[in-house]
Amino acid sequence: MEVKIKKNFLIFREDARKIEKISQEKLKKFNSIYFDFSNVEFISRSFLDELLNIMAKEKRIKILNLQSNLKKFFNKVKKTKEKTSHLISM
Amino acid sequence: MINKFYYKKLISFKELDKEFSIIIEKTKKLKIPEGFLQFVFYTIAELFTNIKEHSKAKKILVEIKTEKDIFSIKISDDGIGLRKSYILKGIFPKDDCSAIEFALSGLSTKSLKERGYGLYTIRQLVETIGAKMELKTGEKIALIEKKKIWFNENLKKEKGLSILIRSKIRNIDIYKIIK
Repeated sequence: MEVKIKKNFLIFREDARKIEKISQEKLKKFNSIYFDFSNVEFISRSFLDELLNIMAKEKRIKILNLQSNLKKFFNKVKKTKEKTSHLISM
Repeated sequence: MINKFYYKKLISFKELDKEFSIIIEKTKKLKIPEGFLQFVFYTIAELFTNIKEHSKAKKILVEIKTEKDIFSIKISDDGIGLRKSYILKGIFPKDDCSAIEFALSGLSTKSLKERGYGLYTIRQLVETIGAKMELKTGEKIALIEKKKIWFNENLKKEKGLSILIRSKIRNIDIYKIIK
């Protein structure tokens, strides 16, 4: 199942929660859900933080077509979050 | 040569999302390097997110301008200010200076897992690209320049939080700087 993100700028946590809501709905019928980010020009750290929290809980959510600089940002924030949660769980 | 640009608008809390799109569309029309635009978008997005998540503000004043090769962003809100937003989460900075230092060092008012990267990362970007940043909250004004913070008394006493960032327009890659 593929869903195209229509918004160009995703800045607030509630944008990520909307993605979670759509996922919960679609995953009742499909095995996985792919969000197409090709229209997305900018994502904020807060949005990404929330999205990564959601993706950590629901592994069947996948991201497609993220612009290269945003992909770099995504991986950086993911890595930092992993490091931080490791420190907290120590 | 950068187009001269001045934008000032008082918006309500509910208009933050819409306003972000308006600002992006307007600033994209300026002849500014893409990397610097990303810095502008990142900064405004983080400041708007902070307002939405912590400030309890009703009104937000946005001012953006370019003067020759200098870009300025000023965002002020009428919310509870930094110190009170920490106090409400059970963190007790002894005064406005401590609250500013907490925010700039990345101490979040949220849970431990969600470290406060907002102002911390903005500070990091500001310092790396040689910009200046001024924060006004409560009784203090903090000026961040060349990796140092100077504090002054704010005789006007700021109700919420006001942040001004001034930078020379240059091509940068913020995604290399951000941690």
